[in-house]
Amino acid sequence: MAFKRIYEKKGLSLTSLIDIIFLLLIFFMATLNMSSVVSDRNQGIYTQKKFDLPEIRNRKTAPVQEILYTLMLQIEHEDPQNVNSPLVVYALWPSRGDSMNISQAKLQAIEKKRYAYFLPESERISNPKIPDVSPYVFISDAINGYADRYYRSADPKNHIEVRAIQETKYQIINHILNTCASLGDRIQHIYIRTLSGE
Amino acid sequence: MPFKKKSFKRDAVELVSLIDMIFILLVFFLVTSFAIKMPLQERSLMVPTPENKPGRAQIFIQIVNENEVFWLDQSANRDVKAWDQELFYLLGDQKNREIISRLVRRNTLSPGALQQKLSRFVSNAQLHRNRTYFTVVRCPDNMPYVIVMKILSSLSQADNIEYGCLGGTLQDLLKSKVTTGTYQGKTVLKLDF
Repeated sequence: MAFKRIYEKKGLSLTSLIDIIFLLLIFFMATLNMSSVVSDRNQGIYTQKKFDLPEIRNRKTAPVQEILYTLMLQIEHEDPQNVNSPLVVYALWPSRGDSMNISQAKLQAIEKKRYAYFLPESERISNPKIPDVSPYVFISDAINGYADRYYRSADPKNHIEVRAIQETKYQIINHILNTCASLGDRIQHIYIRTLSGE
Repeated sequence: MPFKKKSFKRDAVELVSLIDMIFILLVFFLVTSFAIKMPLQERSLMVPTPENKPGRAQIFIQIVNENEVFWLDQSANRDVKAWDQELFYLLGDQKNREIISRLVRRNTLSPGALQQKLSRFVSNAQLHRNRTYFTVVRCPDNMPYVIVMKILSSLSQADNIEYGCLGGTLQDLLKSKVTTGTYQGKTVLKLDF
């Protein structure tokens, strides 16, 4: 009795082959873009191309247990988890014995209503829950109040700190710098803490 | 009587699928390693408060927008001098505007080129530790301040670079007065904004 032998043809599956070819194509396209050099048309400078990949922007400040030694202006969203919530500036004052950390100071700032909202004028006035204080006036008052109490004379050690989320507009930082500058040499520099993924 | 042999198929991983999977994983990790950055790292930077009086700087950096930065250094003196003579037929204000526009056109950099220039500047400052370099960064009010912080962070790598930051737009700068003068025997550019 004759039996047919079945030979299975061993080879590459066409679909998988196409799949791999496309993957290789994408891989080389991506890596070529990363390694290529571009020229700056104005300067004739050759530089590594900065490719545009998604970046995690930190929208909230870290819960820091660090002890507070000077006035800190903390700028963040009212609800740090919700980027659509309004931007708030908190004035965190250190305790007399320098024993309060940033988180505790924030709780105290909320309790003593030492904060202001960055909202359009009309929105601030129409919402009775929100203190009707311009955030810029609030910042100036906080800095002047602290300087009048602790930094009465010029000293290079005198400084305040700013802790802000990355989206904070430069206008706010500039206002803080100018307020300190208006005090002459009493506050010669500030420390800016930026939350960064880098 | 002949019987069919029981065929045992070996459960092996197919080579093509394996390569496919490896490449997918490779591309995935390649992309995500660039995209994911360590969150919740805090960086602190000392920024001096500005003084309301004329100052001098070797480098002037004006942020135009997130993708363009206007960089002005001593190399612009020569251009300004040449243009000043070339544009003799224009009146004071018109000439200033034209000179500034030309400077902006010639010295506007992409973020990549800016990073390159900053690294070169910092390396140069680190080589000449006995000199002090002054740098001013100017940023429009509506931009995120983190752009300025990135520049200042690069500059802070050299101890002998002093820096400061101001608020202002390129439009303000276009209206400013540009003149050349001398300072300690060297030709300098005077910007009045």
